[in-house]
Amino acid sequence: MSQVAIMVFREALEVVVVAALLLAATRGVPGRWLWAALGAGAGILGASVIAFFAEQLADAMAGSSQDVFQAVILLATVVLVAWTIAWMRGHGREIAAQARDTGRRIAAGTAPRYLMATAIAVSILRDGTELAVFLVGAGMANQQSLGSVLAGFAIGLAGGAVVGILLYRGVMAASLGRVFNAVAALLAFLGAGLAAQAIGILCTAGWLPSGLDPVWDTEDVLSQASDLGRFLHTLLGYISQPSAAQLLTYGVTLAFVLWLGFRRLPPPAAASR
Amino acid sequence: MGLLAVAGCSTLLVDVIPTARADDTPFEVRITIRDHRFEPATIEVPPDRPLKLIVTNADPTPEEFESIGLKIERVIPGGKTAEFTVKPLRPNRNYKFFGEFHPETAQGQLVVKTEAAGK
Repeated sequence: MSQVAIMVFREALEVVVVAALLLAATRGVPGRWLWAALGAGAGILGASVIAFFAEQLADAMAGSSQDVFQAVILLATVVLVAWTIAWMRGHGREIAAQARDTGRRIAAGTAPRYLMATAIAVSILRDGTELAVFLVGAGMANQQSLGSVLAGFAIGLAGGAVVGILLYRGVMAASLGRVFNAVAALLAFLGAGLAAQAIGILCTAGWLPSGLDPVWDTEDVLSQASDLGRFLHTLLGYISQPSAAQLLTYGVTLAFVLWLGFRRLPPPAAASR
Repeated sequence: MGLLAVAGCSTLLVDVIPTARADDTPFEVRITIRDHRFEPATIEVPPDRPLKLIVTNADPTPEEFESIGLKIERVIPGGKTAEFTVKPLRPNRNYKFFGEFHPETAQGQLVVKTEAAGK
């Protein structure tokens, strides 16, 4: 059971961090919880379907096409996160004004919920597929009863949810006006980490030059496979053996998303409507 | 003079692009997962040559083949084989890999030797 709980917790953690930060970033957008739930549902459905066909897919994508698929999924998440931030930065003011006046809900706040929902779905698709395959394996192995697999699943998921709630509440507890800034900064690091991971996959498979690899090696100090290493990898993009190409990608993505989140906006057109 | 320049240029190119100098046919490495262990668990590979890792999961249960150093992570269903293309590795380094679903037993490493006996 414990192995199942650990695996579920690890995979859930990544999804939960993405979801918690995006929900915090889209504060005030109407219907964001519903759309987050729809995104989660779509992701779980997609992951289950992929896991069901895992054997056929393994045959079809025995070579490096699976690496490309992984990299594309990662980069898609980065784009969705960056887009959400850019949108919230541009329209945050209107949305905040509407949130105070709950009677008025206009279309201005609907775009980011689709982005957020898609980002959550894609994130679950990536980590959930792995988890679903693992769980089916654990159930098959016969060493564990269905009950203990389910119990481990529940414990792991609950652990992930607790971290997500703490992260969400912690970010939201930051002074009200600064919530978006804090979340945008965290999402910039998260996005940079995802982009660097994608580039790492493409470099290993020989699609892109990696430059010096690794530039440093802190695997013995803080292993990327350890729980703390994983958490930092998810949240900030910690890589224990980064290549030059990964560092470059990390820096460029970080700078770009930070710019999207903190760029100076043209002064508001005197009280539109 | 022109010829010399061309010769100089091509030498420069060859120097700059390591793959042009090294043997770029992939070095095949076969690994089998059995009873949640890698066979063989330690493999010597040559440097400056791309690798082709052919990992067969002989267990009935799925395994995730993962390596931090190689930046690889892929689920291999029971009884299936996965292939990984890996760019040339740096000499005198070890690249560890593990099975994420059974990390207590599934541990292995590629050892890049300066003068590994080629096949």
